[in-house]
Amino acid sequence: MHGYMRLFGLLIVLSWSPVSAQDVEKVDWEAAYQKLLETDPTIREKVESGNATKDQIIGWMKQVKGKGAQPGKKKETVKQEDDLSKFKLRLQTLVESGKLTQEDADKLLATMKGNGSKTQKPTAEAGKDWDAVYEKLLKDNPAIREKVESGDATKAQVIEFLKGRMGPKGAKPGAKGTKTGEGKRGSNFYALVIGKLKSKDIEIGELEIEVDYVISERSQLNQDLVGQRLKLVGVSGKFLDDLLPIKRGETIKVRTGSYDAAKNQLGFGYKFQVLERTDPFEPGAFGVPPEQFRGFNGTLTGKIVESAGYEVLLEVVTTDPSANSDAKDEKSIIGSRLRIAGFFDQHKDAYAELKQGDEIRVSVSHRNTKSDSMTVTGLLEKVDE
Amino acid sequence: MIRICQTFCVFLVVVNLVATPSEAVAQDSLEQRKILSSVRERFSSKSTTEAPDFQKHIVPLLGKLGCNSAKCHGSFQGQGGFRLSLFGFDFGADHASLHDRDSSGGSSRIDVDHANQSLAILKPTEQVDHEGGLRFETGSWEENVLIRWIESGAAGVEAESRMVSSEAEISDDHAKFFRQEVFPVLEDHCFECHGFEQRESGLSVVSLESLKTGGKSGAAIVPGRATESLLWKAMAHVDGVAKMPPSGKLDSNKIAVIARWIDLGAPWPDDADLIPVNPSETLVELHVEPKEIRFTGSSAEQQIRIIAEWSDGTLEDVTCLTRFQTNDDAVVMVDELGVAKSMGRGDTHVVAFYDNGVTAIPVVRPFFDTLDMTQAGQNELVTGAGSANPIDRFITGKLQKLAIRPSELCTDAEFLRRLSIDMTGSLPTPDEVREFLADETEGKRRRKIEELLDRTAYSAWWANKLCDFTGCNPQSIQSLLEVAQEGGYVKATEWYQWIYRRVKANVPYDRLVSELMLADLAGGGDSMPHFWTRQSLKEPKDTAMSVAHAFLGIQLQCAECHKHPFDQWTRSDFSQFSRFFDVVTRTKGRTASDEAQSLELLRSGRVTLNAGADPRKPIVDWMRDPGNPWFARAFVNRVWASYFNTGIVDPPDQFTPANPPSHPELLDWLAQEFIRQGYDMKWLHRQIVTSEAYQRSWKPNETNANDRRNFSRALPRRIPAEVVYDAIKQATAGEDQQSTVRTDLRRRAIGHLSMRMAGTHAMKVFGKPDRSMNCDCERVNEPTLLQAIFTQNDPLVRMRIADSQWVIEIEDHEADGRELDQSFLVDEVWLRTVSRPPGVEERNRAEQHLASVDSISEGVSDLLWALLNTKEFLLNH
Repeated sequence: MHGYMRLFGLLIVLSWSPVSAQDVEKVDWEAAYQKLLETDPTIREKVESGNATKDQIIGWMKQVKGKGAQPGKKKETVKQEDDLSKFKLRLQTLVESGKLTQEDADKLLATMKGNGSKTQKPTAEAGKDWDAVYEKLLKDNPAIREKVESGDATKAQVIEFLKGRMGPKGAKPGAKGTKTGEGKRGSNFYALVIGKLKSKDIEIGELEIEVDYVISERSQLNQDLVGQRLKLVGVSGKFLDDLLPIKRGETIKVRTGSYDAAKNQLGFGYKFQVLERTDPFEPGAFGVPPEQFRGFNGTLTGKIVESAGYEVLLEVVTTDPSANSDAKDEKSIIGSRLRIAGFFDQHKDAYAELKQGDEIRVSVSHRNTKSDSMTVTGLLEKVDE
Repeated sequence: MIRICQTFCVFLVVVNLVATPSEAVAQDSLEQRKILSSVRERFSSKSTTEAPDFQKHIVPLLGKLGCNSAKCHGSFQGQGGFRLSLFGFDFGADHASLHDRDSSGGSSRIDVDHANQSLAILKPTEQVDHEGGLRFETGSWEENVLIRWIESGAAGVEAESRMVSSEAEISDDHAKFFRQEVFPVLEDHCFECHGFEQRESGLSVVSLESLKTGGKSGAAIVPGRATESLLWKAMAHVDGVAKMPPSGKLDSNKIAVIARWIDLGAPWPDDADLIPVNPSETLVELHVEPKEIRFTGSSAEQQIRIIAEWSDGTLEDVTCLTRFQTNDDAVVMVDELGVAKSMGRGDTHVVAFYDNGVTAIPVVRPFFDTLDMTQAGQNELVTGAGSANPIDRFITGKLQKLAIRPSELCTDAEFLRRLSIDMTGSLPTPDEVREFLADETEGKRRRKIEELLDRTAYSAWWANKLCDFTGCNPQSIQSLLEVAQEGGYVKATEWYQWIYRRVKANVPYDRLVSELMLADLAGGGDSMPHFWTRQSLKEPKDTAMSVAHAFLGIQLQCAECHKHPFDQWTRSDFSQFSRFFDVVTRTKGRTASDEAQSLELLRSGRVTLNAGADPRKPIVDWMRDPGNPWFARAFVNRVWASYFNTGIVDPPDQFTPANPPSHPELLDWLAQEFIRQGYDMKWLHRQIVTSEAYQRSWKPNETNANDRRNFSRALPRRIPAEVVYDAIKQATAGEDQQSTVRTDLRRRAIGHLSMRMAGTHAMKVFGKPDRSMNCDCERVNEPTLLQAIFTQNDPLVRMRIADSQWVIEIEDHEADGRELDQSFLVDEVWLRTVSRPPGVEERNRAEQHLASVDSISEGVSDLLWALLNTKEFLLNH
């Protein structure tokens, strides 16, 4: 079931390609919803701000997923074989980058194969009638329609989005749009980057950083970036004030929103609100788990060292593994720090109450063992003193 | 298609100050006509048989007594169960409220058979307990008016037409059921989120029509079928429907009331409708006697008389029913009976409010109480009268009237610094100051004006100002489909650059606005769609308010919910104006509605919107029409205010009859000439800055020290946030950076940085606007203690001085053992910061300091820091 959670989250993120209605029954929508929250901060923010409810999101996912099975619907298609082979290549790239497991990729491909003839693929056409595309999208996609009607998105923005999605790369299966893919500013890359500040420009809003550590869902890219001197762009507003007093050579911690591979350049994640001076990187201090602890599932207790950005850095006191825990040595983390992410949605209110020094009991899961952070699951409570 | 109503020009209400200097001028046209005496006289005894009129007498009386103010029954919840429309905009609702029983269901507010036992009489006379205290005495004319109105049947207004008409007659029982049981449920539990201001999910419950139209989820009610109505489903917590109200499920009786009401067909009496009735009779004009008040001594008094002219031709003295207000209590005070009393020298207005009429009476008390101008020095007074610039003739005429002698012309150094800051948002370079001061040829100021008008910085600074007015806010135009906020800055920069290119090319202002308003919303061609596509314009009312503020200098916010107490706009005006933008906002300008519409534009024109036509086009045509009362005036006034620190209408975005121009003829002339010159923005700038009025010294004389609105001297003002930032950079830049720190717009706060730096500490401290409100007041140019702390020790200032390329150059010279001209360096510090050479005393002190420190570079750093912390640096004077 967990495989489907990941798979469906990616299905939404990667492509608007619908799959068959029969798959709708197989999906754990609760899990898919949780996965979507984890992987898409935009959706997460909408839910947290009250602009969307859980029911709406799940409804939207069902609609998107179910559309592919509508019989007799006219579609602009490219050859099915072409689609599948390109899609397969795309999946392989994602597997190599660490964003998708081979198992998930196989499941996704199998699903697509079973419904290839129904798959809708937009084509990039010169002189396309964007008004018509927009109107059709509004008609077909209630989620987008609601966004427009509620004023959360304008027609111009949607068309801009469509152009980005269906531009030069848009005709390729699995190509990404503004939201997820290789837009003008590169692909989304929600990471915490730590490194030494090499230079800064407080007017243009740029800085150079010698990367010591990266934590994100893209473990391969994380590793690739470490040791590089990278430019980070897009710092603005109050974050220019934060950048001002940080001196060259000092260690900086920053959250990113994108990565442009062509320019080897990071984009600042404005909405994540992290750009600050920090201590020089030391793996233990930042919560990098020991190898023997990876794959842990279960409950931890410990003291909060840091609480920011829907994450907690926990100094672990006790561990209580569940039956499906894959950690080789669950006690190896005791006395060390561990980064736990995902404190939104059901944990949002409790998280808001947490502060440095609190002792908490929290259930976690480490599904992606290449990731350096664990994900909070059902339990979060303060430990009575 | 468009008919500009020339007669309704708010400025024509204001009396010509310059041309009519006489005291207490009566209105000839009224002398021949019968004027009904005031109700104060007519109802001084109870014996009168006349029946007062609800609109003409009762509602204004309730306003005068304060009953319908926000603190009393005009508040949203009312007081003691009795609610009146705020400031009396809704005759129907007020009449219905007066006829209701009190909250306990006991006594009647109005008892036609026993008028003096009505709560409307007993409460304000404190014959029974009244939280609002005594409003009038027993036996007073006010009581007589109210009793006679009740005795005569307590009639309401006769409606001419309704914006929403009922579809069927409603029985008395149903009307009573609605008022007493249904409406309170809606009011108590729904209005907060679905009322006038808040329309959550697009739903408003203020009228039957709006309930039927519904919001995003469709119609809120299906008359006759409660169980199919979203309103009932939401209240009954039916699965699949949002549960309302959010605070928790209502009492089952209340839900049953709503169900019964819908099943009855949702009867909604007209007079309970929250959209006001248009009365059959309308106020045509408020006449004032005298037209102008000229005081010649302290404690002098003048009775003001207000005559209302109605559409049926009747004239009535309504002074006792009029609310009065002074615009400057240091000049004049006015009591509730309309007696104005001189308080000090100067000029201002007394404003009178009655029904929907607002009029302003100019009040003048000259600097000298006798009219003997020789005291002020007649010859000196006419300074400017011989100027070739018509602006000076208007200014001087008013100054003569006030017996104010204007200040001398400013020095060349003051002129250069002032002009550079005002026109280009930049400090002049030290070389530029030296060269200008050394130039002894005639016409050098005019040449400098032309030179500056051609500079990049002129276009950058005024593009920045136009971004202020039009609301270019990065956060409001970011795409919600993106995670990073950078997209907002990219689009804000596009917005800025789009305007910049047009200012640079001196595109006529009306064309610039037209292109902005008619932008292709998909961004095709050279269009810039962000004005329309920003997130802050979620509802038609937001667009209406934004356009009114940006291009007309009008604030409409208050009229969204109630009649403004100090403005002419009613909810009906607002509703009509925003209905136009309803079409624009929903379609984003691509297509209009399927049927033709005729829409009123702020009582100054009616637009016929043809089916299928772009709805933005007629409104642009209306704005560009030379007869438009606001479009050109609003812009020339804003430009004027930027140069003089005070507008002819001030605040510049409050064009209302209650806030009349200080120089109405000047404003009219400037606007008309601006139009005649083809909306040439450079012409406007040139015209203003070549005037003697602009070039006067900030130093006051004995007659104009307290004058802040007649342009008799320059008003020192703190330089704007962006200019402060840039000026610190310019003062500390290296010799070879002097040009680039002024022309590289990517690194100038008046340029592209304006967007990226919004929200930084420096910009906040110095009052840069976020551009998130429809108000010019968002930019704050007042000095504060925090600003002094900022220039003393903020990391940014310290960094600029520590990294100063100029200081580094001096260090290099010292390191090389080269000799430095200390006198030159001292000069340079002054020229870089305050744009003038130091005085003798200042030079001596500076040279002493340089001699006392370890190195010249250190001493120069100290001097730079000291000068950056002077008032003179932070002020434009």
